[in-house]
Amino acid sequence: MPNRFKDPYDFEYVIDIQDKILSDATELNLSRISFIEPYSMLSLLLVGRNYLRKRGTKLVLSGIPINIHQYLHRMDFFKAGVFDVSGNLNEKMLLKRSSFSNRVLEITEIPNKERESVRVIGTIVSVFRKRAEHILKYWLSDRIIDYFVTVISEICQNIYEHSLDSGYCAMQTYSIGKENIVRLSIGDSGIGILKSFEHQDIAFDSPAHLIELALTTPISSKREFGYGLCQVNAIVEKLKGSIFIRSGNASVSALYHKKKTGSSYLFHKNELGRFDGMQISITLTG
Amino acid sequence: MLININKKAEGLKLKVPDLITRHVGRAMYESIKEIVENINDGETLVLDFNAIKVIDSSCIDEMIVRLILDSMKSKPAFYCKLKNISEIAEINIDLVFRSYYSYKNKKIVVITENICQNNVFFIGPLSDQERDIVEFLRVNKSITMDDAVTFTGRPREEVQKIMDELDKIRIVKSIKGVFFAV
Repeated sequence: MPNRFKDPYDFEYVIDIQDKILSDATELNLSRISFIEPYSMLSLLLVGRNYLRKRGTKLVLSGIPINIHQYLHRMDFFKAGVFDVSGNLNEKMLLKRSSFSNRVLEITEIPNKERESVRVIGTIVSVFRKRAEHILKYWLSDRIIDYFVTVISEICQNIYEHSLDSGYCAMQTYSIGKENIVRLSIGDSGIGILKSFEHQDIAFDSPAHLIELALTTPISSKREFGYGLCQVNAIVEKLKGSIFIRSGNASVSALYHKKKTGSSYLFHKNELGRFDGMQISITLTG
Repeated sequence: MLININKKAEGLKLKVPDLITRHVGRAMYESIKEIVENINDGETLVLDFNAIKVIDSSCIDEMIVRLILDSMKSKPAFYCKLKNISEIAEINIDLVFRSYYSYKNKKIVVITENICQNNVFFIGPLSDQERDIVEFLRVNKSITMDDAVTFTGRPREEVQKIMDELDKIRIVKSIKGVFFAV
């Protein structure tokens, strides 16, 4: 595997080889990976789940560097049960649930049934509130915690409301150089935005344009209108963060931290490699 | 009639301080609806959100919007008022109400006990004239049609139409030709 797990744009290289993985591979060698962030981690999990669903067997992960293995284990990556691991890590080398725990929300599966999802979302929000002072250490205020509770709630509900599949959610704060980053990621392998809106009378120029409409206007595939993504987008803009949404073969990036009067901050990409469902990454940088 | 939303949610074994998801909104609505069935004609239903932090749009849609729509249809008439709304709850409520207005051309507005972020005591899409009248009424507690006409300086028919609309959406109380603040 290429060392392409640093951000959502980087992960496109992995998506580009997904078809090859799904058809030919039995093992993924991760020995070249030096860093993996939450969006890439969840997307790798989705690749593994796609493989399991298609082939009926688990993909083997091999050559995992110790630090990556420790991190993935700590984030409950292996709990999802979609990969086999060649060379398990010695128990003594596993990261304990220490102060590091306060800076993450471990990978949590969001079921595609409303009742179970409501319970899971409630639990995620409770854990987030308990750890918020650490996760949002560099941005901390009661207002921002409440904003993020709204964001978590809205995007997690989208999974069971629209994707017709279960999904995953994770969050982490980390530093790269002098930059502090908090990233919330959500992903599913469901029907995706294009199919979700196929029976709606909504005019759009391209799949990325439809994603933009879902992000910036209260359209809904299920009701007369919806609020979820639109409200998430409004909050991210208010916090001067960035949001990346990918569905099918298109993506939209809204970089509100770079928004200046008149300058471009919203970017469309169409004709990307096919990756089912919807994946979202929300980032604050400071 | 005052309903403490935090206590009500705890009574329903819902997780507080956040009211999130449609499921939670529906449970809250059904529970409050049972109480509202016994409300008196012209009474105000005050929903006190003290200790509640986040109410997301799904919950607002299932609980607050439905209660307000009920208040518009209900006989005897009742009125809704929100108390101790958090900043994010206010933002979310405003978004939902404005979406209703944009997509259904239906005005949903609610009076608040506390001042909102835009220095008014209501949430929702009111025109400047409607906003002025609602504020005038809040300060004066009750006004007549003559007062409203004098205050706005607009033709009586126009003001009558505005007052009828405000009464219809239950943000002023009209009793025998006198308008009362909710």
